[in-house]
Amino acid sequence: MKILFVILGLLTACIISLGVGGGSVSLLHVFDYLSGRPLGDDPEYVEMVLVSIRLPRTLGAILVGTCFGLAGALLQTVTRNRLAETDLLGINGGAALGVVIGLTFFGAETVSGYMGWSFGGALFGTMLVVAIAGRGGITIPPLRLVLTGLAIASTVQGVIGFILLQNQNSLDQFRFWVLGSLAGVTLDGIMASLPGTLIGILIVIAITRSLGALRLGDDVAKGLGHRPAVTRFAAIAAVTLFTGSAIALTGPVVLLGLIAPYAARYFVQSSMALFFIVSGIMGASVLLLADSVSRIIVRPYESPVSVVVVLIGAPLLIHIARSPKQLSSLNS
Amino acid sequence: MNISNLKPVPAGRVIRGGSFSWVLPYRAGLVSLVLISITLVLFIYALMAGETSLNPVQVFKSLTGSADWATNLLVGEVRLPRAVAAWSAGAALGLSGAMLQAITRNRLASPDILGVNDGATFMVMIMVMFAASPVVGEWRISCGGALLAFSILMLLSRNVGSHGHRMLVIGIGVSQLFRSVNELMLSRGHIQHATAVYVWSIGSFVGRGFEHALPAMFGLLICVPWALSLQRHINLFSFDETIASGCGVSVKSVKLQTIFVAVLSAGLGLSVGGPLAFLALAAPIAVSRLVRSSKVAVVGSLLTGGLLALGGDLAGRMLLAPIELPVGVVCRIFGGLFLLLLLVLPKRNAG
Repeated sequence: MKILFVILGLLTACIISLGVGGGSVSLLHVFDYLSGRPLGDDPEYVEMVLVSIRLPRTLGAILVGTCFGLAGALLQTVTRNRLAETDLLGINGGAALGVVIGLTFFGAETVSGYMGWSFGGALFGTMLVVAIAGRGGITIPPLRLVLTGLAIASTVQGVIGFILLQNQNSLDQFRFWVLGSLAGVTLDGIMASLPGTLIGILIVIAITRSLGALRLGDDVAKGLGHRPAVTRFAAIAAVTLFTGSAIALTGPVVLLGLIAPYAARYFVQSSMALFFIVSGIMGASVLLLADSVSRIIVRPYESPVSVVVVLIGAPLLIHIARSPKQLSSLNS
Repeated sequence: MNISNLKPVPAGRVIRGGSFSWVLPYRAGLVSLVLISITLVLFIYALMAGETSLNPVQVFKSLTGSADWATNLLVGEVRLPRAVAAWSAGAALGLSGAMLQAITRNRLASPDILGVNDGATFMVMIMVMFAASPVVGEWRISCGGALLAFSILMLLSRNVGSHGHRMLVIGIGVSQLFRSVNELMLSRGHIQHATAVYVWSIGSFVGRGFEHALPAMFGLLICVPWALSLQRHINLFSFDETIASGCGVSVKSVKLQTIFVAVLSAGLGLSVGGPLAFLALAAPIAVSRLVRSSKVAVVGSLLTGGLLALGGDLAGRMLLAPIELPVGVVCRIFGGLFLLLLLVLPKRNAG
């Protein structure tokens, strides 16, 4: 029953995202368009705004939001840490570094061109986190993991600055992308990001049961016939795929992976499969709404969507860090 | 990760005379001397090196005003003010880091992680956006922003002296919040203002000179003696607040004063050349390694901070010459790696 609400929420967010923004195309037009009624005085204009500007943006937001939501949910399950999120752990930074290297030294210019670089960078970031977090088989304390991510992210930012300052050309290209914005999303870009995301989703479907067993501890999981090491490896591969494809499309969206699983826990208590589904949907809905807000908040300019997401995510981060209950409920 | 885990090491030779005794901190003194001499060497090198490289004789001549007109101008108007600005910014940040780490009993507490840097940037940005003729990085503004950010952090984390990383993560949240508001302002601000603030917010000493360093220098003249007078009391905090108060320290007052000095000097340091990431974190840790003492090292951290900023600025100028790398970028790369090492290395090394 609750999942119906979640899906309804997503649909509402989609309609809002189609109905808000520059150009005099309102929510009413969206309803008219969807139900096939005549579109006011200037139907061609309305259709142009809806189909070639707002539709790619909405689809892009759904794709990227799902990616970050699922990546956050996976990371939180694997590390047993509610603060685990691609940006806080430095994975976004790794992917961004990959893209900058691709842009600067190898002339990658389209989304499909720097997709590989984004994957490579995300993999580098994930590997670094795993190497640090998994040292000696001890799980690293949640708050310490965040600080480690900060150190990685900060170093990476420095290196990015180092590269960009020598290359004015890539700086110009990079600037619109680095803040995380859906403004430049095209259908081609979405098509380029889709395969990675789909493979990631397939992996999640395959390992959901094993992840559920892992919650009971490695020994129990082994007893039930699961292979914890393989499961973790698959989860990390999926996180890399999600982060890589999302970041190549829109640039880093910060803290979304924290918000989506947190919201999902309100709707799902026990089922692992539902938790992932709702986390994905929540990520998409939050990003759609945030993108709609970002179009109107500093009119006539447009703010990067990541900024709006942080305005929700940062207080949540503070809240989780403040309450021992939130932190301890998942990390045993 | 906190100071109280360290083993007590005698800080120096004890000199006794009748009923009086005094610990001569010879190791700390030695370290300070070494730091000062390295700083001097770097200073002279900073005056020599650059697109037009000078030899020591020319530098000396131009300092006394007897060189030719161009050399005088280059050293006196460009390189010397910049080196002084870099040193004073670093020194203030080093002092701030030492005080913060000692009072929070947390090695990783530093203005950058706790959101003080971004708070200061926020205030500077507001001023630049809304003032008629803005000066980027005026010291009053950045000190105000630093105080604002730290007050918010104190409200949120209840007890500042708490062990562990909780306060740090809350600080990360606070700084993320400030940063996103900053970006929001940048995205709607006038482009000319935006560029000026953007350069400042990366951290750079290009075009910064005596007039920017002066407030920090004056501030240090107040903060250093104040910090020295607090030093003895703060050292007692390394055990426990109850022990400190048992030894006759007015815990609340010392704590507030220390925090005030720390935040003030952070704001002063930031105002000179923008935020220098992790400098305030690294300086006190480096000093306590050198001195092999867990005590708060006011002078040592100050000297190390100045040294690091000067060296960082120099490295930024030289590494990719003729392109100049902002000192903030240099600090990010090396400071981030330093923090990573602190977190990853086993505890006995990290302390």
